[in-house]
Amino acid sequence: MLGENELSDLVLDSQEILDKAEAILIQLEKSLSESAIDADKVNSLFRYFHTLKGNAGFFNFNVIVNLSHSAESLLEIVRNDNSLLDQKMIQLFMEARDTLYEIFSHLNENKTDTMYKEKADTLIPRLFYIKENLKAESSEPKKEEPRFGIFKKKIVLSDAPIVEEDNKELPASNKTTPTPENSDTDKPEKPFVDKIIQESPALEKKTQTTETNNGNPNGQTTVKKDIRIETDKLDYLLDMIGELVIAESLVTQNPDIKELDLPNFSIQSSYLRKVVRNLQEVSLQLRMITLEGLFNKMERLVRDLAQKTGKKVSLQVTGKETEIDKNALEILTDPLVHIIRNCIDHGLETGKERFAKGKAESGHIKIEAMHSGNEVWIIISDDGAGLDRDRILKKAMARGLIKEGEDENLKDERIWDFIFQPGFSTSDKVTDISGRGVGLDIVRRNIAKINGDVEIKTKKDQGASFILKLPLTIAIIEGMVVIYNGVFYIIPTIDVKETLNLAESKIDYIDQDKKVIRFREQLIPVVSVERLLNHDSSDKDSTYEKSLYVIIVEYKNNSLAIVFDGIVGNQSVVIKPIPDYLKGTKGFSGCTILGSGNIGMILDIRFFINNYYKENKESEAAHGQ
Amino acid sequence: MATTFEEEQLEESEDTMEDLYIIFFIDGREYGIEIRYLIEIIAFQPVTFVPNLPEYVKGVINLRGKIIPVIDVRLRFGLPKIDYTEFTCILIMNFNNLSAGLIVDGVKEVLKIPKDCIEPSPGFEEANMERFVDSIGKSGDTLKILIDLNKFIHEKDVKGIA
Repeated sequence: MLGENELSDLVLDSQEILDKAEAILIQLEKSLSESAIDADKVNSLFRYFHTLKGNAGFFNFNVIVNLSHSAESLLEIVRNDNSLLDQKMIQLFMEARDTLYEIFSHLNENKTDTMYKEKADTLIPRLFYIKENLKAESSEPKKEEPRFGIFKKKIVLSDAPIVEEDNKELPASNKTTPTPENSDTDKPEKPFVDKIIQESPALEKKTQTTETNNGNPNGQTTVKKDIRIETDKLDYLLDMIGELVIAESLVTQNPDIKELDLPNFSIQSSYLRKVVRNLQEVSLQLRMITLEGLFNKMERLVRDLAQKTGKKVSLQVTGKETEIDKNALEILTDPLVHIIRNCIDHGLETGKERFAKGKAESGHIKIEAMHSGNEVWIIISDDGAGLDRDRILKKAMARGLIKEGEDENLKDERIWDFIFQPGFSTSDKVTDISGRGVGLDIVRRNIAKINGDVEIKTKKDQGASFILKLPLTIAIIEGMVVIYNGVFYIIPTIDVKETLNLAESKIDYIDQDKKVIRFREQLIPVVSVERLLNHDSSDKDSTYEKSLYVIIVEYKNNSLAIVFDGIVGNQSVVIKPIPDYLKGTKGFSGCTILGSGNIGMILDIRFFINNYYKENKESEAAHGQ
Repeated sequence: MATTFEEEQLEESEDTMEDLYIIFFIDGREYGIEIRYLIEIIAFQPVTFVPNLPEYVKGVINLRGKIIPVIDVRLRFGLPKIDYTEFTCILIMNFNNLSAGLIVDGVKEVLKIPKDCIEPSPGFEEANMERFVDSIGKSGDTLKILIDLNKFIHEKDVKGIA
């Protein structure tokens, strides 16, 4: 009986293979129009289905075996003559791949694949049908009758015990060309098969060469260079290395030896320090993975959506090799899906509309990833209609997000911001792709979760770009460590605009609960961390007299000045999640353990700024009435 | 990996841990919590204050690279604060994958209390403490107040009582 671990290994392996198969199918589909079909790709695809069949057969998952076997046998023919491959076939392989993926996704709970038998049985005959047709076509036009005979027979066959079928079919697939012996089961086929062999010796030769190729170098591509590690273990390793860094400095900076003159010790300890730092750097790279898998999924999505909407879409993807933190990658999937759905459903016009506007009939979508300083940028752009300022404004007004007359002066950026509001949709009709208004708010929310930012650039009738700016890693941030009331806080350096010494600049008191500081001709509200966390004006009376510094933070042109007692310095800190028990507390984006072993709380400055200005707007509105 | 190892150990010895309770002191009384939720006992260490939390959550500590919230059991029970002493301990608990430290006045022992020695709570005057009481365990001629850890960790503080 198979163990829990073996099963989940099978599932993970197979899903990986199916992901690769999907990428190849997309590439093959693209190359259909370009005449030259990469034989290597067809071969890999064949190998993938073959591997799946073999692995699943080992565990007696017969539905998987039958389905992958059918796909494999059809590929068998295709790889002998690549020109046979067409759109319909790729669609069918795609469906087979999706069905297999679905079976594998539920295999862990179900432990068996029998409930998918029906679904697989709708695909298997179709695969066989094409296969038999191809066989027929490549010899001579065939009568309807025998085809139907085979058709029926195959359905029966898939019901038969698998061992038997394997015995009959496997030798065939291994030898790549059907031989008379194996066609015993398919009597009507025999003469044609014989003919193939007789009439096309060239074909047979060709297959033999591919076969030999297959055995050696190509087969090696499936050899794994990586191993799978549980993320829990990885996190634990990172925790421990973090502790090692602290322990190292506790030992080498120990007060007991500080006064002593220890030349040898300091040489060795600086060596230790170097090793520990290197170790830390390497450990953080362990979490980084490329965007390739994610982008491959997006290629599939674009293809499916284009088919669904009937729009022609060409897609260009660059920067697949860009690496990003694993956790960030998981959070990115949904936003990308929603942006691409929007691009295709709302952004791109229909072929006719495009023609009327003088654009190429086929819409173009570009997905790019690149490094920019300490960030990774992912840019999704289309050459569609662009965002419609007037329509968004109308909708925003209808929903009460802005008032009448306010619309004229609004900057474009503010207006584009509205589309990230939950439930905001300018689409007149709801399609099954988009239009319900859920979606884009997920983009904003998920990106914010990993301290990223979304920007929109658009021009009417020229298209729109969504620019996702993400931190290189969500495991580390550059932060300014400050101290207030005995507690260490970390402010992300990216949000810090200026630090001011209160000995030089003065806080002005407008009234009891409003203090401001003058900074470059601007009056900036002064607040304390406690005021921000409590979301009320509870520190009305506090004068911040003890505080020595204010730090001016800025986000989206709004600024706040936050008072602190002291500034410890700038450093990179490893972000740790807030303990589950404290999840309800807003205003912290994480916590960290500082070099001294102390815990520091990472302030969610953007949340504070948004919240502060929202509250103020509300209270102003209340005063106005 | 220590945590999985601990968890494994926990699973394996689940049977033998049955009926075992960690007994600790709060304000002179003896309390017990099922030992399967206990990960370790550490000496009191300074707690990093986190603003804007309920009063009984003292803050967080760094336990070998893991950041763990700490609850002062006295304050959770609505009892007056006292200075921490050399007997003050933090019980590191893991309840349904949620880690938390409980600050207690002192730890007494690990005790076996068979099921037939456990009786329902007779009710206490201190409403704030009583809502976390699961039952009363008898051992010899002493009584141990057994705590419902789920309620203790999760139940919201009712304003006015706290």
